[in-house]
Amino acid sequence: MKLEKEFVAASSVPLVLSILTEGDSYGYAIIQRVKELSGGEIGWTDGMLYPVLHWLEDQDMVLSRWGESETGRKRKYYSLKPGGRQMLRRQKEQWTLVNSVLNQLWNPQHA
Amino acid sequence: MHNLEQSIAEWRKNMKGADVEPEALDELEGHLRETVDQLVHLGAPEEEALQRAIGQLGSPQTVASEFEKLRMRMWFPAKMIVVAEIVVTILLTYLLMVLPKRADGVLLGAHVFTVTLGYTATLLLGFLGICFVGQHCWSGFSSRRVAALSGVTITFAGIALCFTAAGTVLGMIWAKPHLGRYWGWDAKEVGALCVLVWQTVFLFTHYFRWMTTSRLLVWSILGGNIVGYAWFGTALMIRLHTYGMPGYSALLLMAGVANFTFFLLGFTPEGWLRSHKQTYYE
Repeated sequence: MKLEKEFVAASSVPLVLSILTEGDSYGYAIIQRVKELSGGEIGWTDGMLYPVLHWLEDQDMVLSRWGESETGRKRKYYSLKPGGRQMLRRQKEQWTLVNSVLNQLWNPQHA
Repeated sequence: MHNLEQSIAEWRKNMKGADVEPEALDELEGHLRETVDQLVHLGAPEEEALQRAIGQLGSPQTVASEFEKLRMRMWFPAKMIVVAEIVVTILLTYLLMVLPKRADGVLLGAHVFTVTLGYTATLLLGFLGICFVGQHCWSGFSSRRVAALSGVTITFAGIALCFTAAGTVLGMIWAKPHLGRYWGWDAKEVGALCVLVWQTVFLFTHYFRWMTTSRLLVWSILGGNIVGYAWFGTALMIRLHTYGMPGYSALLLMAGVANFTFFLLGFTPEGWLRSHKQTYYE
């Protein structure tokens, strides 16, 4: 199953923020983590992640710094800022609410 | 034989042609190389791995259009000061055109025009500094936003110095036939000199990166105090003109104190107001 464009766009921010709660990370690793968690079902166009990361940085939700990989290659690492944690909390509440409402509609016996 | 470096250089050229910023390009290149390494590790030939990695990353036009959406935003106070400087320029031009003209008035008019624009630019930079400190106390700034503000700050610092310097020279030329000397060390002239020194130090500090943009924006607030003294404070001293408000010394003092308070707040930790609230509610 391939996620529709609107789903990919709406879920990108909570996905990235949630992955960053696990620790500092960088673009390539974030994409790999999403693929791993979704069993390869959520397939972002890799280049689309970076504008999202830069937008989060503009909004003061994440902090970036250049570092080096084990092989000495330049890498830009991202870490979560307090603003990002607040945003993630709000997103969690909203996604949980939508999930709960849809579950009740699709599985009325559990309502 | 396939040359990876040459192919990546070609890809960079295409991306640059689509107007992707160099820093973002470095980041994307890092990603591309990691993907190629991974695919080669899984057994794909290097040339094929690169083509697949480029495909996964997206076309230059698509990636560039996503980044373009980010570039369109400019911090609102920065927009405000640009608009304010334009409005003051238009207003001054209009006033110079409608005011009655005298033979000696052209030079004086040019002096007033240029000095007003130079002083206004410094005051507006001080206003930007106050807005910056306001947000700094609440939430802080991203490095990208600070970098964008750096462009506005250096432009205004340059405008301020050029116009004030030109206005001072024009004032000196006017003063010779009318006051009998170029320079007389009166309060207004000393005030103008203070402003010029401030603007020069500020511009050089900015240009040679002796201070970060965030710190410079905090210091720009003091520029407002210096212009306040040079423009309005000295007028009180020499009774040249009081800008229609004979007793504004108390107002000037209050504005100076408020400005200085904002300046000091600029040295507090980023987001200290917000973190206090969080502790309270959580």
